[in-house]
Amino acid sequence: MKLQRTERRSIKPFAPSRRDRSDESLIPLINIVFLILIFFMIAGRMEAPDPILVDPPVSTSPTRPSPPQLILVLAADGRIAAGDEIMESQHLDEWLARKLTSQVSGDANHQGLQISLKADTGVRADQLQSVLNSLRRASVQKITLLTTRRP
Amino acid sequence: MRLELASRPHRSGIGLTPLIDVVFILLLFFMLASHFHQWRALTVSATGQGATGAATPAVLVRVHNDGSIDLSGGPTSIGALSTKLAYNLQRNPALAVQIESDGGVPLQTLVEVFDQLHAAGISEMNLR
Repeated sequence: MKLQRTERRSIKPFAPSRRDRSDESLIPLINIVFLILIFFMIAGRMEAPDPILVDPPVSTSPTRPSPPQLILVLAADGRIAAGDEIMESQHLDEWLARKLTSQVSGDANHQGLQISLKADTGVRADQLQSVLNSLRRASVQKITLLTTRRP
Repeated sequence: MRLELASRPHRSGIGLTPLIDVVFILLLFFMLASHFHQWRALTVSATGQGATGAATPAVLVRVHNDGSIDLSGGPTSIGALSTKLAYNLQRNPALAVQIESDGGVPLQTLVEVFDQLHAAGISEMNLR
């Protein structure tokens, strides 16, 4: 007798709400999804993707980068991307020359190019050196190497 | 009468399903479009010779292909580099430090070496 009673009690509260249950069980899900959405909206930063995917080196440097005029992306296989262009490393000199002349004609009081390098961790020192030499030949005023923060 | 009563609570408000659809699409968009890189900058010497002339004293840090490091000719380790350099800089603040590396050294190693230089108080990466 006792058992039957408890069974009835436990069944009863479910019976009227069966129709609403499909919607109501979704509310915790929506709460979580909203939380994740807000997290990604606030914590993430949006940037245009680079034409070549690179894995930047990790450093302990505390300096935040200033907004650069130009970003050169160096891939481990020697390709260089600037803006939307992807070129081989030997064409960097002529590209820089073109860029420099267009800049000089563009504004009279330019203070030289500032270039940020976004290089892959696997880039070898001689590849980096040849790129740096090209930049120095083009008399770039400021060169920065972009890294990510050590987690 | 009974039918009306039964159908009334069913049509309350807009269903949750379209809302969830839209929220999921927004969530996917933000997950794929955002990234969590915190960019840091290392200043690289633009002249290649260092800001100082040839007359000032200089220290050479050599990085070899196998990862070993020489500080002005004597072998050292990456952990000891910053204390040794800081000591040298304390005695001679005008000291210029140059990094010379073999061709095959990966960039991550160079950046680690430069981190040590940065810890010793050198602000510009002077590669040659």
